Amino acid sequence: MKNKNVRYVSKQSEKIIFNRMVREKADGFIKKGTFTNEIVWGSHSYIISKLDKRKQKSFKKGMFLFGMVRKDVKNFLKKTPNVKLPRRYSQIEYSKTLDERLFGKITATDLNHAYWRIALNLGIITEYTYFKGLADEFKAVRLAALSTMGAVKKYQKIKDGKLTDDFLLTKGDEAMQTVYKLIRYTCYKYMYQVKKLLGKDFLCYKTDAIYYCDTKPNRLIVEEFFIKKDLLMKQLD
Amino acid sequence: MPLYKNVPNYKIRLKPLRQAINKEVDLIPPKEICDLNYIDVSEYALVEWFSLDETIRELIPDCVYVKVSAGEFGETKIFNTRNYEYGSNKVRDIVEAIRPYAENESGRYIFSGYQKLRPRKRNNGVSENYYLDLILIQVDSKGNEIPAASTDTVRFELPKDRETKKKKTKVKHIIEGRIKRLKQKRDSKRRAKKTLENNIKKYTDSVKKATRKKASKVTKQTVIKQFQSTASLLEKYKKQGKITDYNYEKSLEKILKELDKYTSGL
Repeated sequence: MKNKNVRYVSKQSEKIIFNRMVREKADGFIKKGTFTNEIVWGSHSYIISKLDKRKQKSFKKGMFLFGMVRKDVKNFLKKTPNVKLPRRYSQIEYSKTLDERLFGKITATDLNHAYWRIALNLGIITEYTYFKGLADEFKAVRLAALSTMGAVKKYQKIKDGKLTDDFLLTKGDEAMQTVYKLIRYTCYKYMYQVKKLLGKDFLCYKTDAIYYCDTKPNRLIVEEFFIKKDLLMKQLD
Repeated sequence: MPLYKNVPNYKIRLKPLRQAINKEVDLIPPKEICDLNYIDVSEYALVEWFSLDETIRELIPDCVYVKVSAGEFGETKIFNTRNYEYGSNKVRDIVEAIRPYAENESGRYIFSGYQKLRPRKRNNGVSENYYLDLILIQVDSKGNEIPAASTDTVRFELPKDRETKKKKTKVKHIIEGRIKRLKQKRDSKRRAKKTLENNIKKYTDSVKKATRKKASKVTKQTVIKQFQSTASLLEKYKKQGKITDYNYEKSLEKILKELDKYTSGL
């Protein structure tokens, strides 16, 4: 996929290109991602953004973060070549004993830019990078910069204008992927630990937000735990 | 050879001579570059309305027959890119006709190249018999494609031998080289535009500072210096073709207006 003429095209163009490939019975590749789709045909690689225009603008503006994060992670890996991953807890968990009386008395704590903050706390990104990417408009870029680190790209093959079940995997960077795992697993681990602290009052958690029975001591438990871990949060009432 | 003009014959060796000739020969594009049958369909499958001129001028080889079909926005005759001029071939009229409709929704107006047979010509593989029809494809609000002309193509079945493959690859590399050069040019234009904008902003700011009541002598000198540097930059970019005439006029007007403000405030 290297040495292709990369072109950023509109959403409408995606259909035009694909239909033309079908018509010409062409060979190529297609990759569907969270933020963009990509079609590779001949010497061209067409990138189609899935974000709306406003977000697209912010995304382009924040592209510098990709380079900064990659540089920081490389430095981090130089210092700590053997990254030890914590135990992997579930990303989503629900309390199995849901008490109906709790409804109306539920509160939630949501971590602010959880992955980004954890990356800073673990020394994966520098303070400079952290503050550079902190603006709200860079939320999508922040996540993309972390999640695409060394990620393997999976391209679906198009043969004679038809989508096939064959895939082409590009070579990823395992060490960098491990660093991203470290961030994610650390986040899930924190959530699990809070769950344990809350005991029966725990309702559910999903990635970086935890729901529980709304009492003063519970709020205090959660708040203290996250402050201890140097994380920022907001209370969802 | 001019290279060996002052070298006596007995000193000339065959090996470097052959190398020099081969180097020059490599630079000459093969005649197949003019043959659409050798050019991959993907090369001109997607051309944005605003880059129509650029594509015809820079990317399509200058020996290919082309036509632009844009339906209600007009169409050109079949012309050879060798004789192409933005204004005289009606391409400008088409682009300007699309502009008001496409300004807020550029993705809805796309040109796509289809190889067709020129009138009264046979499909026998002779490069001159074909032309590239750049057809406007409009995308309506429901996402349906509406081509402005017939999209039936005519392609000559080339022999599937090694020689043809080699020629196709060579043509591909030449077109890729053109795309790369165009990209560099675009980047350079973009950089020039940004530098100019920054310089004008700096200059405007210093005019603002200098027209204040208690402006220092140094501030006033800075205005003149910045005016000179911005004006020379403007001239330089115009000469290099990095900014359009329109942008040149607009920027010049702006900096002269600021200068007027400054001199009237003295």
